[in-house]
Amino acid sequence: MSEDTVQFRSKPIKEVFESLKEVRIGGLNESEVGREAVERLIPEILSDREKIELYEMYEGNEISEDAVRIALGDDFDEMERMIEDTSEMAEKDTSRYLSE
Amino acid sequence: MAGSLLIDTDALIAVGNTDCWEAVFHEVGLTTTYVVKGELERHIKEGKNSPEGSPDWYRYNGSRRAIEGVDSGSISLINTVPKPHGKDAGEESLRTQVAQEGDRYDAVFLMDREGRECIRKTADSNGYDVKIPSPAFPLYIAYDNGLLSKKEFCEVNQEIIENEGWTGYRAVKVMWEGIPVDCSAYVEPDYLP
Repeated sequence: MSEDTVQFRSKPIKEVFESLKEVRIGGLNESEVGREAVERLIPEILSDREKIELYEMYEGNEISEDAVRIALGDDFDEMERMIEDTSEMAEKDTSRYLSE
Repeated sequence: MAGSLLIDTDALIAVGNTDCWEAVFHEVGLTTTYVVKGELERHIKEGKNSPEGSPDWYRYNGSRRAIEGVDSGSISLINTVPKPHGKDAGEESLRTQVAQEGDRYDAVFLMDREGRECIRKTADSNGYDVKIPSPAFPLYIAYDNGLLSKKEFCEVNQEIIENEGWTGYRAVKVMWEGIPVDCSAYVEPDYLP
């Protein structure tokens, strides 16, 4: 596996980290904070178009479920369940739902 | 035995504003609460004199057609205790109903994402298998039983997406996915998943 490092620490972010080291009890795991921050923000900063494309890549088995879940955030699970529910309902004999 | 289908104010209004509202409100058996009926009646009262095409008129128009479905007996009403008040009272009344008598329902239709999540949680935590399918499903029932043509069904879904101002990828996906109808011949690609 390649050891890609994403440099996302601008000067002020570095400063936050440096100061946090002093403040936070038990020290600071910069990578963990960075990872959490990126994971949370990705769904917010992706455009709808990008999300569709990533979802389509997932449907075409080009990217993993874990990846698409990060990209779409909470939307992913809601969407998956709704699609599942719709399919299951559509399999039924819908004539039972007609009014008498 | 088939369970009932529960529907909220916004989903009734969305269907009510399409050209196919009669096929759903007169032919498909839906259930809602007296609280939702109260909301529909309020929209009718408040939107009666609003200019055509305005949001108030949209709510008025959908609501009066839904009330017609109630009057025709196709949409049945149930009482919920306690009776919620306030902005999301309708949705809350559905949630109460699912919490108390979830086994009576096969599915709940809601337009609002938060509402869907909330009702899903309620059903899950009470151990009820209540589905929350696409809001297009009542129209699919009409199509599946020959009350709407394929063309009508496909076009009406696009109409709802347009009316609701749904432009996001999620909304479009949520509307269509899982519905076993290929609408690509009738609907513009932008409105398809």
